[in-house]
Amino acid sequence: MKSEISIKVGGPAGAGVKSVGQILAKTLQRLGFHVFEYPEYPSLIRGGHNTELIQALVEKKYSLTKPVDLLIALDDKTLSLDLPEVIPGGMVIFDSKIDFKSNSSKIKFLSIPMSDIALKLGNPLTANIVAVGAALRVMGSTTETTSKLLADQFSQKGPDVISANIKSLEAGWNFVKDKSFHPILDLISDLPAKGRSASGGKVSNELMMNGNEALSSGAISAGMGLYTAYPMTPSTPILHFLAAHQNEFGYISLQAADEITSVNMVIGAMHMGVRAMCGTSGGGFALMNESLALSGMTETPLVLVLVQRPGPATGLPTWTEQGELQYAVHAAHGEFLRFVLAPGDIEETFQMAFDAFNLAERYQTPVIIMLDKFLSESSMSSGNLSSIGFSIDRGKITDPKKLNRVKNFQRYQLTADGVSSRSLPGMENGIFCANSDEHEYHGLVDESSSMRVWQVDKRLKKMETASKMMPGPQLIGPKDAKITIVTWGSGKLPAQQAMMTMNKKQETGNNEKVNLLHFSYIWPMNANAIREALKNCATSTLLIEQNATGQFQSLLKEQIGWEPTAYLRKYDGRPFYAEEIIEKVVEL
Amino acid sequence: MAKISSNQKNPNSYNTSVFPTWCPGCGDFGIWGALKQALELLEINPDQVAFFFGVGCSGNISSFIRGYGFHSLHGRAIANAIGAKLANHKMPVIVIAGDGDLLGEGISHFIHSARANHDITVILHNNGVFGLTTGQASPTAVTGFKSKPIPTEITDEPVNPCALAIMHQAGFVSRGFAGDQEVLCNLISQAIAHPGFSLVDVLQPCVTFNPDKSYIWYRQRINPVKIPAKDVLTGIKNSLWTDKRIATGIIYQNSRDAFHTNYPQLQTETLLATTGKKRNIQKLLKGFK
Ligand SMILES: Cc1ncc(C[n+]2csc(CCOP(=O)(O)OP(=O)(O)O)c2C)c(N)n1
Ligand code: SF4
Ligand SMILES: [Mg+2]
Repeated sequence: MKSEISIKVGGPAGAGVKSVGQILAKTLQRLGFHVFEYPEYPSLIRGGHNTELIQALVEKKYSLTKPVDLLIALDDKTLSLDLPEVIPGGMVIFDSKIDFKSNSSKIKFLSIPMSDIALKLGNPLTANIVAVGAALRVMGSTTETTSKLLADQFSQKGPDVISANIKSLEAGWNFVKDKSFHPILDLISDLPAKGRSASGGKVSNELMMNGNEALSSGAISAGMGLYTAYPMTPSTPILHFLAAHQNEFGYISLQAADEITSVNMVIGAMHMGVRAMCGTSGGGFALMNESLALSGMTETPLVLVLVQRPGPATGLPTWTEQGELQYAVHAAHGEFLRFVLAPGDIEETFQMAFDAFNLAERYQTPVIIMLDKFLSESSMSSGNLSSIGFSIDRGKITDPKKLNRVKNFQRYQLTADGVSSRSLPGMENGIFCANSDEHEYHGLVDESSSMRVWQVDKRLKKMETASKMMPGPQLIGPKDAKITIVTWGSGKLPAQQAMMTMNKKQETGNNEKVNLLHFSYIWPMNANAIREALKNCATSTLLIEQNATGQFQSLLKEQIGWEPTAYLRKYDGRPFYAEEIIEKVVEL
Repeated sequence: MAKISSNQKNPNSYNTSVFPTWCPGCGDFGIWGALKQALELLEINPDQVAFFFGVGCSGNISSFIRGYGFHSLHGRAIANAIGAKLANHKMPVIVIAGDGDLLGEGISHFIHSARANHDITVILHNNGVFGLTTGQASPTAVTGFKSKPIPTEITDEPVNPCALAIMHQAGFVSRGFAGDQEVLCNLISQAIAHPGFSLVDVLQPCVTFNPDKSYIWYRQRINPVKIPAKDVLTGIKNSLWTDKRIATGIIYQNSRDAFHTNYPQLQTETLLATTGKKRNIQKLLKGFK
């Protein structure tokens, strides 16, 4: 019997595919599994083809694998498009309204009148919940955990909504139970028992969270005062999430008139001393470029979240890519320090929201946090973030009491580390001008040759200081591996899944051991730390990234002079599946 | 080298050690004088005001006026200013920029901040040209204006910033004249005191690149309105230029609530007072289980 399960749900936009995915994912998590949930959808509001892939494992589940055990089809498109992914011995449940006859003997098919049952119960919109009930029965589970979950989730909406949903859930479950044939999916029978063994009988303390939520939670925790954004997939959920919680925590989240307004509001707020952040995707980031330079020149902190999707231009709005690394590292005119952080999982994303504010304020310069659709919208079981202990570092903000003793405050004084102290508007004796023109120590325009050189050197000194303290890459997995997979950003997830699978095979004597070198602090590069870490790589290295031109690879070559033995690039908008990485590793 | 504060006799003086680099006779001198006078009148000390400057001859005032300054990008000062106002809504926030800056590159910020009624004061140096880039037509250039890039007479209709602001029900819309410092000081101080978006559209002679619109030319046409219009249509009508008459004074005023007052978060404290402290998110995280 397998210790994992893979469920795919498909249907048109508007049919509640997302809810089915979320409910099943959280149910499995509450039962004790580690879960990964990945949504796919085209850029439209009604129709089309949306799917949710929910995969649960007894051990840690890092990312996606290909096989599907149970397919839930809310429409005929799902049956034609996703059926090939179902493995022999797997099962398909579909809405009886779909005209479908199968001739496969390897896969079990079960027609369930989901829409009819929901309609009869007076709640036609809950056909998807009927499907959840049926799926639970098929997997050998009761409805208990899920009913409790629905009650928690709909607690705001009142008892009527809760009971309507639970009725539909139970109707779906009962329909399967009453069927004459034995409809339990052999591969995955008695789900709760497996969950119990996974969690040692304890209720899971893990969170089911996606990258956008982890980032938002991190920013809230880090004392953010203002968030601004102009909607752009896949960054929009950050705006929605932060708006929903603003009253509870006292910050402001608002939709700006456009991205240029958004980033400049953030710079304005940071200038006043308030921690602020903006979020966007590639196109919006392009509009913000001139303002990155404004932050760099005036030495005003800025935190910018760039959630990548495939470009150029409008590209594939709802799909994934890591195609903007070189762009983020080089965007905007002139020479100045910017940080580029690319977290690789939920814990890192949460932590990097914290880091970003600290770095922006400590170095008085822009910080770009790069996510991508895959990390930002996939939900996964993660450790309880509240136990991660960070402290807030606001950098060199002057103490107003000290300012009183200073006769001639110089905001842009030359210092050993390049960072000078910052007063905040309103502080007595701290007057300065944050000037986008080249400026002297107080910020007044100065075009002299000597001051220009001093101030350029001052700003670049920060780059030197910062690069020395940037953490190097992490080596993950066995030290004595024969092959090292090199990743940046979200590549960590599929690579870890691949590593785990391969090293398990290794126990059985099949394969070479694999480990991982993961980069999440991307820019500026700490060349010494990186060279040191690269020395610990195996002799064979495979660099994986989700773009066509190998952007991280060329950055490493340019900055460090290092190249991997082989590379794997994917740019069809779909994330890496562990199998694709394993296949490449085996070839090496 | 320039110094802002060290050898100042009067710590509340609005002068820096740099004397303005504008052309002799430039209308910007009058605006500079009126602004300093207005701040003194309102008893706002230089460290209690946040300026956001555009890029142009007008924005160069950033080095000539003492106060917390932010010399932004061309077109973006309003966007910085509205973020700053939300950050510390107890501080007066003043935008100073040209017609090219506010109505060309930055016109969307102008419209959106006016319709949101952000509590900022916008002082628009309206000289009909891009001064700093040597005299090209600005969005307020009148038809018939000639310049290097468009040597034939321009045929575009000018943007009327007052009409635009009134149409979007900005709180306070006024027009002043750089050649009449007393009246301008009065307008600017009322604009700063108004709780909501306030515009001071200043007719500003550019003696170098727009000599046709001279002090005399304006004096012959300006015509103070007696009372501010309360309704949009009258306001817009009064704001329009005719061949003979350009209205000055407070053209339109309403009592809309300023944008930031809509936030319960800001009822008692500023964001500045609450930011940068670690928040407990235990309860938030529970929702993910
Ligand atoms: C993005 C950008 N585009 C163009 C410029 C060049 N530029 C500087 S000032 C200016 C026009 C200034 O005109 P206005 O805003 O009317 O100010 P004035 O000089 O008339 O006071 C231009 C086009 C710039 N600095 N930035
Ligand atoms: S060019 Fe015109 S606007 Fe600029 S300083 Fe000279 S007179 Fe004033
Ligand atoms: Mg101008």
